[in-house]
Amino acid sequence: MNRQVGRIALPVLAALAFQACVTAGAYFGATSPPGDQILYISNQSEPRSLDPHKTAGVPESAIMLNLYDCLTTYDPKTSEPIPCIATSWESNADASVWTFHLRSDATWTDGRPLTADDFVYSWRRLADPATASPYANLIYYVKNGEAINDSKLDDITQLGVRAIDAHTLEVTMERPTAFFLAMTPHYAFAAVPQWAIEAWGDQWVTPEHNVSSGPYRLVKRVPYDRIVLEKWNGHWDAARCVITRAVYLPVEDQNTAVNLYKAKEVYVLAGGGQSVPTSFVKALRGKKDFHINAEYGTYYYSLNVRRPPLNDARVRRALALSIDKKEICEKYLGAGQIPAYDFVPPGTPGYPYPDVPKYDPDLARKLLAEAGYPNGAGFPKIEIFFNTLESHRQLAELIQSMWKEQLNIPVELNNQEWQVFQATREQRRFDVARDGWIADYLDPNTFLDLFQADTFGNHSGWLNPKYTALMEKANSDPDPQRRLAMLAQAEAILLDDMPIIPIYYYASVGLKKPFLDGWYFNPLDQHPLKFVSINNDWRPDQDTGESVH
Amino acid sequence: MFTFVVKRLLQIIPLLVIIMTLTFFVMRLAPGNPFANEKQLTEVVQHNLNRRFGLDRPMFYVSLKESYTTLRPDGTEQWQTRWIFPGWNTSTGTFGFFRWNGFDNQYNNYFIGRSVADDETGARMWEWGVVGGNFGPSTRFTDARSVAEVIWTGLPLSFCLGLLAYLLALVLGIPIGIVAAYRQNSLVDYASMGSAVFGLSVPALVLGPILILVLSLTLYIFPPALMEWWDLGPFSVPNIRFLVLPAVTLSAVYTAYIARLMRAAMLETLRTDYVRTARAKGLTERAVVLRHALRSALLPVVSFTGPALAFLLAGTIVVERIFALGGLGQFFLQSATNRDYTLTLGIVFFVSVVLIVMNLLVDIAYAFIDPRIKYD
Repeated sequence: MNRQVGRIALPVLAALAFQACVTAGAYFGATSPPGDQILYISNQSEPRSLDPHKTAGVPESAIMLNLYDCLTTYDPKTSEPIPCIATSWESNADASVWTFHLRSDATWTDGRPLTADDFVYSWRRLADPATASPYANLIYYVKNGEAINDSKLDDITQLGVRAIDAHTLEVTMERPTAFFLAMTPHYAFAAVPQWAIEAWGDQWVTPEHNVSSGPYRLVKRVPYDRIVLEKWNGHWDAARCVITRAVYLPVEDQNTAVNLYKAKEVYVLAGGGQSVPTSFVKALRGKKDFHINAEYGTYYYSLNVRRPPLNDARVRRALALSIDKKEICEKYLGAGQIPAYDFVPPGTPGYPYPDVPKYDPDLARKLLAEAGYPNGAGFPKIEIFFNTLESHRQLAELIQSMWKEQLNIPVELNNQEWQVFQATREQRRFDVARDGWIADYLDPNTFLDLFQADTFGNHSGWLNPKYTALMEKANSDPDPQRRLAMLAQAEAILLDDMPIIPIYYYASVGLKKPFLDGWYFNPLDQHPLKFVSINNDWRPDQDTGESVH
Repeated sequence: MFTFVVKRLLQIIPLLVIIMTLTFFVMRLAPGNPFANEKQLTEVVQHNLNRRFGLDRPMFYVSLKESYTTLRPDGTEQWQTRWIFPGWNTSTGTFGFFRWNGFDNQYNNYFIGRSVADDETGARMWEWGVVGGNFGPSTRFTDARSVAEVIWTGLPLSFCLGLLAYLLALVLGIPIGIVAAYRQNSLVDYASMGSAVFGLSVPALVLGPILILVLSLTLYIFPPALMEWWDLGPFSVPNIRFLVLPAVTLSAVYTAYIARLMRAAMLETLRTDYVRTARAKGLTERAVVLRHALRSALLPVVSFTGPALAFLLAGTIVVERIFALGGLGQFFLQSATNRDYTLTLGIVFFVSVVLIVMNLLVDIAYAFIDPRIKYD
């Protein structure tokens, strides 16, 4: 699509669509429930692959969650791990060895029993460099996972996972990993069928050859058209499943997705994040089927600590203190985003969030003067880099004007195409770069881990031995309370040094028909179908106003 | 005529080589890689993925050096190069010709082929590239067997949609053009040309959503997006109810263009001497316009509709996106933005072939429509 045309026409379209939106009524579009239990889901984009080890995307996760059982699954309300194939588990004193006890009634769709050996095979496959799994970094927490994936160790049986018996799985970690349980519902850790993969190669995920273990099985797949899952009656938890069929539609365009929802062609917009165009948010706000929910992810700016003037922590703190995040979220973004001061988003059970200074332009000016730039005098020009997207630009412009107004420093904007931008960020050819992190698992470690080493994800280049030591100590502590307290201390060090400026927490903005039960907007945006059902008798007057905001 | 067609067909080969080569380098030189996601990959993971898809090889090189691998003290392999002396082949230790050592690079692997080791036996096998009709696996849709398979799944939809839009454009555009020309400066002329200007200037990006708004979200006549297929045993056909809105959206510009072309050509033809002669002979107006004038007035329309059909059949990015249809247009857009090298090249190849063949058919059609044109 021609970008120029897009830039002019999209607002026009949004305005047009907007007119259509503003209809009276408590709900957006048709709400009469269907007479069956077939669920239609708008799932953002076409999955790359339905092999849990061949993809790292969000739309895939929505489907695979129901196809392949993991040791645990997500609680539909809180996203915390709850028993699935593993009915119970324990770890040793420093959380370096985990033992999982598996249920004995789980089977594959072809009738074979699902045992601990299946997990051993699957996790080895995840680590194997020949598999080239994009999520292989998750297995690095397991002993020898990184060495195997980096081809430094050829013997994949050296991976720290073994089957003690058919229903007991023992996992030895590379180092103490108290948060390991939070990772186990992730699809990268699902069990995959060895015999089917060996018989069919990459083709084992086609509906004809697929062997799965989850409550739903794959019956149809047409690229860019639909993926259909059907309830599998042989599943150990089949009695719980109400939805008989789930149709996942890859609708790339957000406007189209909203149209389909309005016409009741889909019942829910899934996939996480912003599934409704921002221009619709204001009009939809009052509707009962519109949901805004804080997601477990943070939008932030990375500051290059290896380049002057941002190598001075006082300058970095001055920059952070002079951004009025509340105004940004409420006045400009307006789609439910929550101003971020801590790096770890809200929603972590039991985490003592460090208290950090909020908006304070006076202190910012003072810090800047201390750093040698009174009233911005002599401050070199800095550039904010972001990938080309209207919302990133608007935010960068706002921050540019705030810095100019409060600190009187020259700031320029530089936008780049996504893939070019990624290269810029990785090679640290920036002063300030837009950044974001959405969690893979529900634990502060997924955020704080980014600054443990000078690798992947640590765009700012910040390292602090005190921080690293504290993180390591925390993660070897099996006592959750003590561990979280130490993590919070580490986060306080991070936020004191300010290599990053948290701006807002992502919010997932979505539409869900009122007759759909058991689908909650949770921190990780994971919705196991076995908890979902359609209330065929739903009527507007029955509505109790239950909705998660 | 025959030699003309053969000559044109032979020209296709170098043309495709140039197109594909250019596309290959443009795609490869663009920053980014097919595995990039919102989530960043670690270096090791990236390296493993590159190796799996052969992207760890040099992109292209020509050299008189020969490459060989040696083992480092730690047991890992290292690539080294050495000069090949004229006439002496160092790898076989015999006299011979210069050995071209540009084979183990991405360009050659993709177009000519590469030697791959069998998973179990380790025996080397030669796998042909594009010259052998193998476009390789898609780097994004790893579940699909090949790029050809991916294209094949998108083809029926794009084809049905394109053909319907094309027929719609012809059936509406040509008569409107004829009538407007025949009744020049009448109300009919102004009305039809006015709506043609509207059709030309309102892009699908605007027309599509307007149609959806009125016909599906307000009047609930047609579905707002998606496609439903009727299974007829050996093949399936799209449900016409789902096809109407996208086809109308798609055809608007073409209808308008054809109507304007037809009108202009018709006006010109109606003033020529032979049409006056035909009238002087006492032929009916119907015969004059439809049998004599129409034939030569159709020429510009034909030269437009040939490539237009090719574009329509090859998928339409905007319409497919608005209506969430899984056709070639979506694949093309997505594969280019995702840097799915193999799929992009496959689609470029397919679209190029269709376009070239359509142009050839147009040239042949000229010979039948215009008696003055002869290919010898």
